[in-house]
Parts: sequence; C-alpha cells; structure tokens
Amino acid sequence: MTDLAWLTVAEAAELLRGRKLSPVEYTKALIDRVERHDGQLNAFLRFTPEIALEDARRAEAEISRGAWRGPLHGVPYALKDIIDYAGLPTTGHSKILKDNVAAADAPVAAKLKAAGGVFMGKLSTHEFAFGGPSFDLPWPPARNPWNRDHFCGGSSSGAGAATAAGFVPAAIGSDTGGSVRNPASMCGVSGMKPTYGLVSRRGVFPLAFSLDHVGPLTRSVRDNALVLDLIAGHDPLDPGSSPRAGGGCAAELDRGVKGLRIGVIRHFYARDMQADPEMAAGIEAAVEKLAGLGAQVREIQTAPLGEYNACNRIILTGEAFAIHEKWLQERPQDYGALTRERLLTAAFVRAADYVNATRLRRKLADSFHALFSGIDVAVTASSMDPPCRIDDAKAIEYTYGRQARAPFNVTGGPALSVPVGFSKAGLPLAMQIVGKPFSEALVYRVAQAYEQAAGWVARHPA
Amino acid sequence: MKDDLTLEQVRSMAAEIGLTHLTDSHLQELLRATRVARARRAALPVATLRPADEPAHVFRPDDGQ
Repeated sequence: MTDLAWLTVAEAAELLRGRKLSPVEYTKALIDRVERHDGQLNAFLRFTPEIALEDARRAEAEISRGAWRGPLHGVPYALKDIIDYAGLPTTGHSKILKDNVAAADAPVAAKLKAAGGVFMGKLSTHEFAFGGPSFDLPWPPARNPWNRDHFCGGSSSGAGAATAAGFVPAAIGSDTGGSVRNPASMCGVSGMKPTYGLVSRRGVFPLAFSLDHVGPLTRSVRDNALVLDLIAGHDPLDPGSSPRAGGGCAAELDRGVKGLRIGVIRHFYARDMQADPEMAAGIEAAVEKLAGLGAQVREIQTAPLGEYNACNRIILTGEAFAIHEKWLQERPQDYGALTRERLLTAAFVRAADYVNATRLRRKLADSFHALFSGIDVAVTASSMDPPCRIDDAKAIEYTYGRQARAPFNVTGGPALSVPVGFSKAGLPLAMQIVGKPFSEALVYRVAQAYEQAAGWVARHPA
Repeated sequence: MKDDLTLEQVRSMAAEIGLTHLTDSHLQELLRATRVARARRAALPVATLRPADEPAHVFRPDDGQ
C-alpha cells in the first residue's frame, strides 16, 4: 500500500469505505509520523493522539457496520488554534489565552466531527492570527517541511506545515489578509479562502470581523473541494454568514478548462510589485499550461495592488485594535513583540480613515467583480518571494507585505493558492486562482485541471 | 499629526487612550507602528471618493423574516 502519510482524503476515503484500510491503522501511522517529526517542525501546538484514537475507533465501528458518513469518515484532520474545539484551550498561540478552554465546538469543528473526521489536535498559528513568526511566545513557531530553516508562512502556519509534512491530509485555517494562502504557498499545498460568509466564523477567535474567512488547506485540489463542501453552509448565529447553502464544489472538478476565460492580473507581480524571478517564471509557466489545456487567457487590469493592501490593512488593524484594546491597556507585555507592534498601528488611526477604507473597499470590490463579465476566473501571484529563512528578521519583514492575497479579502470572493513548482533551492512556488463571489466550484475546476497537468501534487518533502 | 513625533509625545498620546502600561520599548514599537499607519493612510486614494459613496458594510435592520 502507498505510504499512508501521503494518502489524499479522496484516496483514503475510498480505501476506508471499502474496508481496505482501518481508520485505527491509518490514524496510528499518522500519530507515529507526528511523534517522529514534529519536534523539528512545531506544526502542532496541542497534539491529541488520545482523541484521535477514540475518533478512529468510533469510525472503524461505524464503517464496519456499513454506516459510512462520507469522505472524511475515519480521516485525520487538525484545526488552527483559534478555532474552538470543546474541552480544549483555544490559545491563539498567545500567553493571553493560554487557559481559554472552549465550552463548545465552533460550527466548523462540529461539522468535521459530524462528518466522522479524526481530530489530531490544534495547530500553531501566528499569535492571534497576526504576529509571527515569533520566538517570544509560549510555543515555538512552525517551520517549513521543505526546509525547516525556512519560514512556512502564516498565520495558519501549523496548518500549512502539517499538511505538507504528511501529518494530516487536511487542516482548517483562517484568512484575514492571506493567512490560509500564505502557508499554502510556502508549504506547496492548496489553500482556499472561500467567499466571505460561506463558512461560519462563529467560535473562531476574530482578527477582523469584516475580513475574516475560514478555509481548508490540503495537499490536493480535490481534497480541498471535498473539505470545503463539508464545512460550508449558513450559520444563523454568524452575522456575516451567507444564506447560501454551499457545497457542490467537488462534483464540478473534472470538467476541464477548455473554453474558460482566464484573466491574468500580471501588474500585481510585474509592475505594482516585482516578484522574485523564479516565482514570476513559475506563474507564467502555469498560465501557459492553462492556455495549453484550452483556456482563453488574456491580461486584465484592476486597481493597483498598493490600494488594495492599504485598504485591507487599515480595516484589519482598526477592527483588530478594537478587539485587543483592553489587553493592550492592561497587559501589553503579554503579547509577542511582533503582534503588539502590528496591533498598535491602529492606535491613532482616525475613525474617518477607517470609514474611508470601507468606502474604498466597496468601490474596489464593485470594480473588480465587474471584470468577471469578460472572464470566468483570474490568476495572479500569491507570495512575491519563495520562503525566506525563519531566523532572518529582516527578510521576514521585507517579504511580509510582498503578497497579492489581501485584495481578495477586500473583494470577498474565493481565492485559492496552488503550487506551481519549486525554486532552485527546492522551496515551493505558488499562484492564486480567483473568482467572483460564490464561484468556488469554477476556481477549483481550473485548479484541478492545472494540478493534473502539472503533477506537482506528487512531490513531497523528504 | 506631525511626522516628527518624539517618544515623549507618543507616550502622552498613548496615555490619552489608556495605553499607560507601555514600556519605552513598547513605545518605540508604537512610534514605528504609527509611521506605518500614516503610510497606509497616504496610500488610500480618498480623493476619488464622492460624498454618496457608502461603506462596504452597512447596517441592515432585521425584520425578523
């Protein structure tokens, strides 16, 4: 049998459903892998093998009596540690919340439980999904499985590292300015920021209410669609939740890209910011590949990247400061330095600046969505640079803002990071595929066609 | 707001909004953070806004249906 660490959710589901693989055997193999390797990667902030084995035994009993629940039944997964799992602390990777035990499951966790998933634990994050990578917190930062001296992205750092390292085939992260897609890009996995409101944010510690999204990280595009189908759906107790039901993404995957119209937002990575040459070459090669598969590719223009990023950051920091103000007043020393400095950017931002940023957000979103009358999806860069060394504070600072992810938190539509190859140093390269709101199925369809043609999904870290 | 803020000015401004427990090191962070915030504000094309341009998220009362 294939190494169990590299099974996709879809492959595992087929084996588990057919009783060719035991959920307990599968879970034990991944537990063993985490125990052998996570000491070097720090993907897990709280590893819970006892819960995993209990879930796996329950799944095994249910599948044995023919009560298969679906593609996640008996499959291990993990959650970023800002997502509530009843009975366990939700720490946000912060001293401030280290004893914050969740009373109930977040809806996203409850849905994965109901799907029969095997819970492996809580994953490292940048502190409060914002400040990192940091070495002055109660837990160390996660590292990149492709080279553990390098940054694995964030803030859903552990989610990127754990999926890339073969610890779990699926993890759930959150994304306010790019925090699912950044670790996906840097770890060579797929990461989806779905449409705002498609996945409930309730029980997920907020960074910025109007920009927060919850989404999956997986090694394959198909798995990503399968997991999003499971976690999407209306939550009447989340004020931002869409009334749309969600789901149906996996069913559309294999329809190919022939005739689809793809717009390339090249100015983001060629003019507004200049991407690293290897990153730019990887994206251009992927665009050529999509054209070769029959897509109609043309360049499109939107507002400058700097306008989107400034809009995102003013809204994000304003909302985040409101959440953290009391702790910043009473116990500022309990934050990591990077988080504190990033939060403090909003200390003296005027109310008018925040409101103007939200007014510009509407204009940016409206004009961006109007582009979709002439295209089906857009592609552009995710990170401008391959992962830098995790201990190089200057490189971290330089590359932190060099990204094209925040625009799609501003516009609110789906944005998926997918691998497009590797640098000469063996580090992952990536691009984004972006859609209009609620067009996740189309975004996945393009990603699936590319993934199948490119074959990067078969490559794993040593 | 002036561009040449000093640590003492920032300390005073911070105190006005209740940030009274910041150390000198924290205040240096606040000084840098404030400069970053100003640069972001300058990057926003606010001159393109017309008076009737509404915020992205507006209040919608729930009619209970």
